[in-house]
Amino acid sequence: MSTIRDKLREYRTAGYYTEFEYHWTMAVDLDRCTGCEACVVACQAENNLPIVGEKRMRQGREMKWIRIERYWDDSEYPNARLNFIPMLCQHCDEAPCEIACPVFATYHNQDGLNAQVYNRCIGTRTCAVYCPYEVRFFNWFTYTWDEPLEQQLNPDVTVREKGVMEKCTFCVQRINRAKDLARDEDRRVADGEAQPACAQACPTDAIVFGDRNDTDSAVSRKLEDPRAYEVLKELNTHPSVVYLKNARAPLAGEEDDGHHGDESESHASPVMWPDESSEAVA
Amino acid sequence: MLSRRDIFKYLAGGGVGVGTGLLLGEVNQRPLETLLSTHIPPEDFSPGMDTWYNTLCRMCQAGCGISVRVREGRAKKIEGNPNHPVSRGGTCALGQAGLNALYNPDRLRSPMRSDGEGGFVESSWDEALDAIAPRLGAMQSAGMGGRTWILTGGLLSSGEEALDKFREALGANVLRLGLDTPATELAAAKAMYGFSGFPHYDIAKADLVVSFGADFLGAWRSPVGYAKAYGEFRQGGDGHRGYLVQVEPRMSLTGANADEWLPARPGTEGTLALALAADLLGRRGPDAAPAGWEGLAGAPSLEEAAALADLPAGRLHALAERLAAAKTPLVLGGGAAGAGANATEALTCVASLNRILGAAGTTVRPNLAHAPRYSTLSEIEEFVAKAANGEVSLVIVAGVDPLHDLPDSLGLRGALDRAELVVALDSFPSDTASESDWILAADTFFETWDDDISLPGSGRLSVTLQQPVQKRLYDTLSVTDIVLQLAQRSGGALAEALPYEDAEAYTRSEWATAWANLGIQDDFEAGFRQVQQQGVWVADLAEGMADQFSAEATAPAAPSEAQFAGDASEYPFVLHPFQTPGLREGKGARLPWIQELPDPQTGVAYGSWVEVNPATADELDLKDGDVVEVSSQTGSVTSPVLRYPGVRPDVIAMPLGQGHQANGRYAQGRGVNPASLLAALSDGSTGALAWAATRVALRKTGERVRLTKTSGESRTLGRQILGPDDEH
Ligand code: SF4
Ligand code: SF4
Ligand code: SF4
Repeated sequence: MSTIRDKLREYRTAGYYTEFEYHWTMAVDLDRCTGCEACVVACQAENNLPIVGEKRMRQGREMKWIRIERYWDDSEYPNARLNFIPMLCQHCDEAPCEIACPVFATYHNQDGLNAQVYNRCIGTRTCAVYCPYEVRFFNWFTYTWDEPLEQQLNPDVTVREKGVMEKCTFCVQRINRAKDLARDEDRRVADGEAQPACAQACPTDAIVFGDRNDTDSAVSRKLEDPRAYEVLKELNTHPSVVYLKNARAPLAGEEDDGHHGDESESHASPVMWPDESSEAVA
Repeated sequence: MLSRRDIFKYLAGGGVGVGTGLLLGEVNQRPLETLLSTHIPPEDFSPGMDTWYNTLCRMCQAGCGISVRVREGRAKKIEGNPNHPVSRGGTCALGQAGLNALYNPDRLRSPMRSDGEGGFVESSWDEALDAIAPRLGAMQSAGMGGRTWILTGGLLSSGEEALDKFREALGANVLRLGLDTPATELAAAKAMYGFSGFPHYDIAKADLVVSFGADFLGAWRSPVGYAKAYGEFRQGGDGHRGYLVQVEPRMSLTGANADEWLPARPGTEGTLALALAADLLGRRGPDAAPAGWEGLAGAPSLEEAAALADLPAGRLHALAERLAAAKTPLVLGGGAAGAGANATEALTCVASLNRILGAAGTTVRPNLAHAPRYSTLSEIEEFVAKAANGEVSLVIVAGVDPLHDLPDSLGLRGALDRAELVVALDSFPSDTASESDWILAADTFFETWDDDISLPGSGRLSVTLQQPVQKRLYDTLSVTDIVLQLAQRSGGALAEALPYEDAEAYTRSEWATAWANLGIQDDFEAGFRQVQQQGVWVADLAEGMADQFSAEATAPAAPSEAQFAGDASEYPFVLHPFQTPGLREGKGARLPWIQELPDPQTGVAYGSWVEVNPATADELDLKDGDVVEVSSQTGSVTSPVLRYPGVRPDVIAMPLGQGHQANGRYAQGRGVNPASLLAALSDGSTGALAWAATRVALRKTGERVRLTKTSGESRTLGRQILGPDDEH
């Protein structure tokens, strides 16, 4: 009996990395995050994300490598309470998207990043179907910029065209720049030296980014927080994005009837999610 | 794909001769090894090499410090300036989108003259200035300067100072305009702290923040500065986690993040605060009360206040307990709570809690001595009346857009129509500029000099320098340059008042004078160069620069009953206009990144919506997307409904910022503008516009549209997305 994990390891033969020179990791503290979306615009600016326009946005074709998802604890006035969670490519160590691609356009690089090779991508969109986090975006069109908005394009980042898949890169251009500099100075990249655009913009310092291989790094310390968890952990994707749970207590007050649960939880038929033990497959 | 060649094409226009900026050697990155140089670069400029300029964000009034990445002579990315004491390296969504203003396809590229038929023709600076300056000169020498009105905002900048010197020399009138001005907040601070500035709120230090209406994480006063503090407030690392209570009729971004959201009935915030104040004093016994505060005349009990505010009394008792138990509490007031007809009284009661709790002087501290004085409703009415009488010859609109941002009921449109000549200084064809006789095309803040003293501040004096980060893209001048040029060409007293060559010379001279007045002996050039590098000049508030809080204050009076424009039987809902973090009062609408940014709480992009409580919506048979007519006594708009569980059943909430009649392709004709519906009602104490005191009626039109909204399940459905074993 082999596990999915074993199969993945097996599958990752030559050309894949299972040990990483740097293991870039992001921690998002949901107790700090306010949902302000500064990170969303920062990513758009840094990574040459196009404006798709209202019509295409209505068709669900917006391009946002990082988005803020909103979930209501309770959606009944006056107990209504809203939660925000930034969602981006989780740079899964056991990435479902990677097994899907017939031409190896998406692969794992030596730093543990889930990378996308644009000029290898043939646009089957399989990876987007396999990704449980729904963070892959397909270029259905070659988007253009109303002149002179193209002058703001980041010269370090490729502008994508019709037919290729794209997604969060952990701002690989910034990582490479930091590594480049470190290599010239014959040292490792220092903690905090490589900052993705979202982390740098975030006004509450909710996003911490760094190398998990460095046990002293700020992000490694975050991973030890008891609030740390992985989204959809039961899928065994081994994300490189770790969330720190919001520490809000249940609502207080006299009309607090203890009902803060998701309505669907109480009414819906139980949904079975595989836990660790179901990792084994026949 | 756009190639590197295409990007380099722009080198021809830019790169060389920013001249006035400063190359920050120590911040420079080395060129990427893989980059090939395609030409021989000029001295201060290397292909593949970033230059970072520290400067000022002018997207809103907060005055954050930013760092702009410039590559090949073009601004490429905005980051926060970590040296800045207010924004401390952070930015907001709107600030991030600043480049969309610089490179906006619909920016004005040269001065424009109205063709008299609703269109504009390109002009030149000589033609434009010579058409305006002689009139100014003639008015000034004839002592008729009072026939000129200058419409501007409320920044504490050198540029505003130049405009003010100009106004003074001319003998002109000024209107300082804005929808959500801090007038009532300033008045309450004066009453409670005896302090004539905007207080510094130390959110990071607080263990309990109770905010009456101030959406400090979304759009209130200094969202980045407050968000930085909020991060520490929640998870500062010292083990304490601050607790946030938000009192407001519609769940703002701050309300969505609060531990408790208390949807008090609009207009009752002051009474609520007063009841809490009386309760807290009662707990301490009569001796602990400040002299004259015993019993707080007219204060209702918590039960009475709860009934008035339509909140469960138990929640108020719990809040009083929390306030009494908190070690470092902080109470904030603003937003809609500061925009009713009894707003100053209400905010004074709110601020009184800080006095009782000992927060005044600890988590609320003095900041700056001088705050701008915004125009009252009656001053605006005076201008409109004068215009109607033909007593207004010239109106200069400097960077504000009152025809969009302020209610139609003020009559400003008619007043501008009747003025002999209207000159707008703007970088965009704003709604107001598009109705003018001349638009003098202004630089964006990336292209010129200025500065700003942040009003919300940091408790220290910080002056942020604005410097050009790249060459002008078009034939534009800064607002200060235009004012200087007009003054020079008018001659006489005007020319004498402003004898500067350009904005740079003027800004430097302002700094030199300020430093000399403060007795700072430093070598000016060296000092200024350092400020250019740091992007900001920070000093501790010396004696005399900030008033201290006064030792005593008189007890707050019971707020008068809230007044609303419109009869409740005919207009059953209170209209709650709110700012989103991106659009604000309207400046975000012309930026495509902001238009395509989903609103944080609702996910709606590219338009307007009407938030209706689901129970109310059921009563009126309204589903998402049903178009309703929202009408006040003075106007109406139609917009689709969005059922929002975070709004009171008797309140209708609408985002501000859309509904432009002009302002470029991204803004024009998109959505509707709830500001246009507001009644000309004012706060009883300050005369400031009461923008949250208009009643409206809803009528289903029968039309139905699909909102442009990011989809997605809004429940976690047991997937534990928000954390393991949670209640979500
Ligand atoms: S910028 Fe920071 S606080 Fe704002 S939504 Fe993104 S992660 Fe959250
Ligand atoms: S989050 Fe999705 S796109 Fe990213 S690595 Fe995992 S499966 Fe692939
Ligand atoms: S809060 Fe205002 S000044 Fe600060 S970054 Fe945002 S728009 Fe700019």
